[in-house]
Parts: sequence; structure tokens; C-alpha cells
Amino acid sequence: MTYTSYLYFFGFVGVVYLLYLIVPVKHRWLVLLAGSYAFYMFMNGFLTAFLLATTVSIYFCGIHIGKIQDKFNIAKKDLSKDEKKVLKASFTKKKKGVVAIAVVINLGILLFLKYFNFFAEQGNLFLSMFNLHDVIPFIHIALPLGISYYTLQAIGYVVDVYRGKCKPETNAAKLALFLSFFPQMTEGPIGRYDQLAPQLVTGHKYTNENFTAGVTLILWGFFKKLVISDRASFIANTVFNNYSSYGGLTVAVAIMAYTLQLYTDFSGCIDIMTGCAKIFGIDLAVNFKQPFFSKSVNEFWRRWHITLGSWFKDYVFYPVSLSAPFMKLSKKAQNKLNRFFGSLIPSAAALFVVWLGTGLWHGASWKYVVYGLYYYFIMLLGMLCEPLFIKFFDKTHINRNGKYFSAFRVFRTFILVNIGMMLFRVNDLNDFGRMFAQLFTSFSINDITSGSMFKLGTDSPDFVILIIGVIIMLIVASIKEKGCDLKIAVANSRLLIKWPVMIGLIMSIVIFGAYGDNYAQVASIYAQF
Amino acid sequence: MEKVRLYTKKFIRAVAFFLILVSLLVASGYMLMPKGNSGRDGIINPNARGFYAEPSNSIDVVMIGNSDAYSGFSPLELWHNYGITSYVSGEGRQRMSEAINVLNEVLQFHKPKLVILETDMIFTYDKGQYDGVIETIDYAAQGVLPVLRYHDRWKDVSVQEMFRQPEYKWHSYTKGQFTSNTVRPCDKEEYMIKTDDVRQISFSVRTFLDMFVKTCEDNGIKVLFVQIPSASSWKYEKHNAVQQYADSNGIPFIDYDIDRSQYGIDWETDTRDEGNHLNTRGARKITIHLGQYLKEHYDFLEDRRNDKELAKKWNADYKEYAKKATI
Repeated sequence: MTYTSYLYFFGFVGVVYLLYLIVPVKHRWLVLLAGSYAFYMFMNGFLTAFLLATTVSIYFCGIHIGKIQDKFNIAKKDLSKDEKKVLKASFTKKKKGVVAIAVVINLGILLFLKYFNFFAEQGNLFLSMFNLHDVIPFIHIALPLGISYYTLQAIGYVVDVYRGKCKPETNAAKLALFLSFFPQMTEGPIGRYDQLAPQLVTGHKYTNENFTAGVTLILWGFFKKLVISDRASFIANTVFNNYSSYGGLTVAVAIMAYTLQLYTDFSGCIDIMTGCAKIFGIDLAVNFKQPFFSKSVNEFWRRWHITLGSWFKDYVFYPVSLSAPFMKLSKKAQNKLNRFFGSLIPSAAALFVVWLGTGLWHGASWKYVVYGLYYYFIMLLGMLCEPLFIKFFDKTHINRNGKYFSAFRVFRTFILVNIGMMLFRVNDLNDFGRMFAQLFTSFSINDITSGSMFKLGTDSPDFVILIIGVIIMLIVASIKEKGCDLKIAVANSRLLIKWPVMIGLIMSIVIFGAYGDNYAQVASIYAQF
Repeated sequence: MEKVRLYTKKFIRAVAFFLILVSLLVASGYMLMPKGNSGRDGIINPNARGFYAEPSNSIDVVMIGNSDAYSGFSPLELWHNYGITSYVSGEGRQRMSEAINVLNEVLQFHKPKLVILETDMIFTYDKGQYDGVIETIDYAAQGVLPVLRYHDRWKDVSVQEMFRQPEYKWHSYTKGQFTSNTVRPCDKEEYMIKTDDVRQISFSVRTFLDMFVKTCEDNGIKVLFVQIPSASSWKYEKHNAVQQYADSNGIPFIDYDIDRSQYGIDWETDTRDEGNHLNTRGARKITIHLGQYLKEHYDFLEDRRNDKELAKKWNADYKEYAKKATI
């Protein structure tokens, strides 16, 4: 049951929504829980056991951390400052132990299910050098839906309880809802307990604003997915699957088409899911913020898949860079080198862990490792060269934030991101090398003049619709960049604006959507993670 | 009172919104729908829709099904041997929900006395529990809103065509049959091994099968289930499921896959693709037997060869068909 099917919307979301409105406000969260588990079991069958295992593990870990904290709160009374310090250290150690158990269990499940075969393959490759063949067997088990998302959410919850950011949830059913809320099970966004859980368990009354804003966002998501993304996929697939037959310019267009496909597919699906949650009165975390307006790769990652980036920042980067060994490293670097390298080296080391993790999170393959490290090295280079840049701009009096230079930076970031997307899409790293070289070795304007570029799995009218779709998207992005929440603006506008927008979106999707007998169905890319 | 007024206002607005939306969907469907019934006009599966151009109410028997149907039944053999007018409206991988759409299309142009459902489609693409449901809903929605099927014709359609009245002129001289003289023998082992096992008919298919039967009943049309031999898709478990359904609904069922040899079907000579579909020779054998059965059991099916005007056209088509069907 894909979320673009009638069955999902009319047979599932519609029914859950009606039940949600019928049940008394106080008990509405139970409808969400029942709906979420019904959806998950329908999609996953017995694999639901993994979601349950994660829920149970973090429930008990959270409760246990809470109990340790309570004990500490009682024991610290009447103690001197130094005694409190000693006691706190001992209790913190205990709490850390519980967090470690939660992380080992949940990361262990994820690593085993998602990465076992990858590591087994590498292990077998290594052992084959000693004439030992196929020593490590492969496992054949389907990946539970959304495991990459809910595992991070689960670990985040336990760490938040450890940090005292939130209290442990004493109601296991409420915690189960936090992990299983159906709109975010396929592609995220990765929710934080303190922001999401209170919204889920509070019953929300029907409001016109929530309903209309939700439906508008769903329609906008469908527009991005069916009108733009699926159409762009035909160009990308045609060229990526047979790149050696095309000129450099066509390859460049296909790379941009893939970037467009990935963005509109992922952000479109997130819009659909966020819209679904919104009609229930629930605001999911923002996952995209006009990423292609970014002036640097660093900024791009603060605007693209925001919840993944912020998760790695809060639960990997900070704990790693503030850990005792890294602090020691920082001090040593400061003493032996200078202040700049003193702060750079531990950050660079922590960032390495973050980007390696980010790459691997996307999939068990070397290309994803390289994908993560590609961004790491760009950022590292930026950090290393920053003092030189400052000197350069000082001397040349070029305004870094000026209009033209900003436009150049946006363009430069776009190019760098496209190379990253190419890495993401290619079948393997050899293909990447060959395709990248082709960009320069067989570049010819003939690709446009001969018209062959407009026949890449599409026809000219499809190409025109794609361009119009991108222009509409750019206009919407520009308005949003100025701080306007368009879905709310549409919801609160007069009928003369609201209805044409909604009906216009529906008609555009129905008529210009790339679905039906003449278009191949395109599975959502991020749902595979 | 204030609340009632508020809710009434909201309700009226919601109704108005949906009326506008549905009107636009229907209107755009009309504008984008092909205005002819040929492939060049943009119609999907034109061969299955050649009956649009047959003289109104001239078709007495319609067979609806998938590729097994259009390969294994010959309306012109039925005409030539028994004088019964028929059309085979088969579409590759047709689903039950699409069969309803085709039936409704038939009813717009003809008043058939008998509808034959080729039963292989009951199990076509019924993947698991929910895949079948999704496909079923897709086809059903296309039946209600044609714009969902013909939406991408915006690329081809001219403004003139959008507002033109439909004109259905293209007629299939084979009356929907796909004629193939190719012989590619089937070397598969016997697949109809008797068993008491019953393949489940999925919920969604059963729902549309019920609707199909009811639509026929409501229009005073008799229903007959027929299974055209197919070595690659048919099984005894499927036969049992259809037989059960047919028995409980009082529908006769002829399974030509059971004791094929008594109808003369020989997988050495009667298939065009190693047992998946019949060729014209196989279709002729099935049709001749089926015609005999229709004569014996449905006395309301007239021999229309005495209708000179109609016979002239059908005989001309038979001549064309006979030139092609050479095995």
C-alpha cells in the first residue's frame, strides 16, 4: 500500500481520520496508535516484532534511567558539593550503562538487518585472499519498514531521557505511538520525543485551518512527486542506465534531472506525510527548507533532510567531540599547533564519524560511504581554507554576501551537490568515474541542437511540463524563503483564492501526473532506506 | 442556532467544492477522451472496442476476458457456423474491475442476450491481499472518471477535438479476435491434475465479480463462464474455485481445460506460444463446440443469417477473416 494509492488515502487515512473525530478527544491518541499498528502490520506482517522489540527495549531503558535519576535526587539531599559531584559521577555512569544497552540493542538490530550482508561480503572478500571462499553466509530477511528512521528516533529518546531533556514515558502505549506514528514510518521525518510525543497524545479537535492546510500540503506533495519527480526519473533512468551512449551535455542534464527527481520525490513524500499528520492537528518536524538556495554545502545540509542532519549533530557529533579522548586531542592540538588547529582537529575527527555514519545510514554499499565522505572532505576543505578566504576577501574587498557573489555561491553549491547526487545514483564507483570523465570528454552542444536531449525517456511536451513544474516550484520556494507558510496562508485565505489553488492542484495532478498505462510507476527512493 | 447555521454553511461549501471539482473532472474527461474508437484516435485496446462501430444492438453475445479470450474465441466462426452475432472484448491482463468497465461500455451500444466471462482473469494479477485491491480500485476509478485513463492525451488532442462529438467508425473485421496462424507446440506436462484444493478468489475480485453478475442480471442478460485452455496459467485449483462460485450463483461453467482432447484441442498444433494462448485453429475448435452448446442451451439466440443487411456485412467480414485464418 503505497501512500500515493487510493487505498492509502481513502481506505486507510480517511477511515482513521473519521474514527479520530468520532472518539472522545481524550482517547483520540488510541485511534492513532491502533491505526499506526494496523498500517505497520499490514505492510510488514511478522516484521512488526522488530518495532515492538525496539519499543519495549527503550521503554524499560527510559524507565530505568528515570529510576536512577530519582535515586540520585533522593541521595544527593544533605550532601556537600564535593560529595554530590562524586555521587553524580557514579549515577551518571549507571545511566550511561543503560543508554549503552539501549544503543547496542537497537543499533545492533539495525546493523544486523541492514548491514550484515554488506559486512559479510567484505569479510568474504578479505578471506578469499587466504583461499577461504564464502565462509560467511548471507542472511535473507526483509528490512522492516522505516527501521532506519524509527531506530534513530528510539535512540534519540533514550539519550534525551539520559540528558534530562524529557521525562521517561511511563505509558508504554504512548511510547509505542511515538515510534510508530504512521505518516512518518516510510520516510521520516525523524521526530524528537519532546516535540512530537505531546502532540500525539493530546487529542486535537477538527479545525478548518488544520484540515485545509493538511490537504493543501498533501496536494503539493503529490504535484512534486507525480508531475515533476516521476517525469524527471525517466530522463535520469534513461541516461544513467546507458550513460556511455550519451554526450557530456546530456549526461550533465541527466544528473540535474536526478537531483530534481530525488528532491521532489523525497520532499514531495515528506509533504504528503506532513499534510497527513496536519489534518490530525499534528505538526511533524520540518525536513526541507529550500535546500537549493544554499550558499555552501554546509548550509545545504542544514536545509536538506534536516532531521537526519540534526540527529547526527545532537546524538553523534556533540557526544563524540565532547568525549574525553576528543577533549584531550583538542588540548594537545592547541598546545602543539595553534588555536585554529586546536579547535579544527577534534571537530574534523568528530565530523568524520558523522559523515561516515550519514553515508552508511543511506545504505550498505561503498558508494554511500564515499557519498558521505565526499561531503565531509568538501566541508573539511572549507574549514581549512577559511582563514585564507577571509584574507582574500579582505584584500580584494569583495563582499561575500553581495548579490552577485551570493548567486555564484548558490550556483557553486548546486554543482557540488549535483556531483554528490551523481554518486548517490550510480550503480557503483566505477560507473561514477567513467560518467564523470564523460562530462568533459564528450561534451558537445549537438546534444541540444539535434533534439536528442528531449527524447530521453520522455517527449517534448513532457519536457515542457517538467520545466513549468520547476518554475512553479521555484516561485513557491521563493515565497517560502521569505518566511511565508504557504499552506497556512492558503488555509486562511478567501474562497476565491483557496478553491482555485486546491482545485488547480488537483487538476494539474490528475491531468499532468506521470501515472497510468503510458508511464512506469516509480517507487519512492527514500522509502527504501 | 448559530452553530447549526455555521455547520449548514460549511456543509453547503463542501458540497459546492466537490460539485465544482467533479464537474471539472468529468468535463476534462470528456475533452480528453478519444472521439473515435481506433488506435490512432488514442483509444486504449481498440480491438476490444470495435463493437462501438457495429450497428446498434446487433451483437447478441459478448465474450469479456483477457488475452486467452481474444486468442481462443472466434466470433466469425460462430457466425459462419451458427449465425450468432458476437464480439470478443478481450484485453491483455484484464482485471475483474476493468471487465465491469468493458461491460458498461458494451451496454451503451448493444443489448446482448448473453455475456460470456472468460474466467482466467479472475486470477490475473491478483498479487496477495492488497496488490489486487489497489489495482482493482485503479481500474474502477478509471471507469467512473475517464480522465484518469486518458489524462495524458493532453499532448495529442487539439482544441477542436476536445469539443467534438464522438464518432465511432473503426470496426474490427475479426470482431475482436486476435488471429494467429503460428504454431509453437507446448511441451509442458499435464497441468490439470485433479485435486480438491480450491484457490481463493480474492476479496476485491469477488466483489467485482458479484457486481459483474448483478449488472448482467439487472439488464436481463444471461451469464456463462468459460475457460479457454491455457497451459501456462490454468490449474485445477482455479477450476474448483470458479466451479464453486458458479454453482453458488447458478451460472453454467464450461472449462475447456478439463478433458481438452474431447474438444479436439491438441497442444502440438493448436497454440501459438507453447500453450499460453490458442492459435486460430484452436480458437475454431473451441468456438464450434461453444456454438453447439449455445444452440442447445440458449434458444433465444437467433440465427441472424436471414437478416440480409446484417448478413451482408458479417459475411464480408468472414471472408476477410477466412483469408487470414489459414490453418
